[in-house]
Amino acid sequence: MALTEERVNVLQFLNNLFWLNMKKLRGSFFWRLILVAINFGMFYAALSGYENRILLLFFGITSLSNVLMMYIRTGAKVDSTSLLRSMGASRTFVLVDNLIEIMLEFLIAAVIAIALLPFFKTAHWLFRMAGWEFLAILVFSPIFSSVLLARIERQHRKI
Amino acid sequence: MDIRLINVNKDYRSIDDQFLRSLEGVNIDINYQNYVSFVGPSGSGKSTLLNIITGVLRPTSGDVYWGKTSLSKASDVDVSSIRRSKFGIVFQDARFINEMTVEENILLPLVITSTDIRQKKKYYQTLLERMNIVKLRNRFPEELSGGEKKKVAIVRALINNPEILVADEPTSNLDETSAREVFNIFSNLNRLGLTIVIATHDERFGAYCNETYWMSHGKIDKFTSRSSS
Repeated sequence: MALTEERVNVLQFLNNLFWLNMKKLRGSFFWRLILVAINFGMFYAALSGYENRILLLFFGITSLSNVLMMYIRTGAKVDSTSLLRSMGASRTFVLVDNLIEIMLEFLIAAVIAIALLPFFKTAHWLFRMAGWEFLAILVFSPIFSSVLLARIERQHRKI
Repeated sequence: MDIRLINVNKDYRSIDDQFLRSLEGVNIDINYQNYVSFVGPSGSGKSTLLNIITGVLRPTSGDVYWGKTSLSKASDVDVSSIRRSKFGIVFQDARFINEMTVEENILLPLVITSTDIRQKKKYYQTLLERMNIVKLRNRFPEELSGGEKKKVAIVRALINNPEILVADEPTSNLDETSAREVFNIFSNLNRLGLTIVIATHDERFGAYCNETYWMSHGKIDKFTSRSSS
């Protein structure tokens, strides 16, 4: 049998991943609520006109919290990721799935903050912070997912 | 698709870094549309064997062929691609994503294969009706009995129209009636042309299959075939 190269429809792939994550949203609502609160807190501070030094500190703390929560949450997905892999999910699927899952809360928080933009003065800080957060998720989520995948593969080699 | 295992060995590394041989010198041929079982006590290597057949695990030495494709030469992308299009897997512990309903869990393989879920709704409905589990669709996995979980796991394994259905201990934690019902389902699916591969510790269910490999200590001890007996 020659290997048949599967023609993956990217739009369908993303559509299905979005469907999956909307369903998962219901289950991990608590975690997502905390992340939305942390991110919204950051945006709120950004928009409240504090000094740059305090804003930087606040930004550092929230960024670290986000990355830490991302690490804990990704690490806790051993069973579901193992299930997806056993059903034939590729490594790319797992990376993109986790990225979309994490990105959803961030986007929800960003949308809320942008909706409140007219009430605050230092809007440029909002965009600066949102940009850095976006980059942090884009960089760290795939790293943490790769660590998770390596852990699952290591488990398969052990007894 | 035929499956062939040639002199497969599988070693695990224990926590104290010792190597434990789980499979030793396994040679198997599984022909297309056959109904094959691996029967043996717990710890005889059945689950490891199924994981190697489905490409979830790679053998330490030896090779596995899916048709003409050698797994030792195939990339992870190719193995994953074939696994999701050709295999339906019923896991021993009927694993589910608990925050998703029965319906969503069943549709999960379609998400992985990037299939349009709406196109498969009719087929999905037919499967639920055949298995008599229509009423379970909106429940969550923890609300199901052992037998119901197995049926849901079978429907999930079938949703992608696989060529081969692989089931690990499909009757574990089931009462006699439910266990027989599960094996009758497998027999019917085999009559419809599906290749069935199961691992079970229950010798009675070997009788349902065309070919049975008897296992102990990671080796095939005996092979019985309905046609030759």
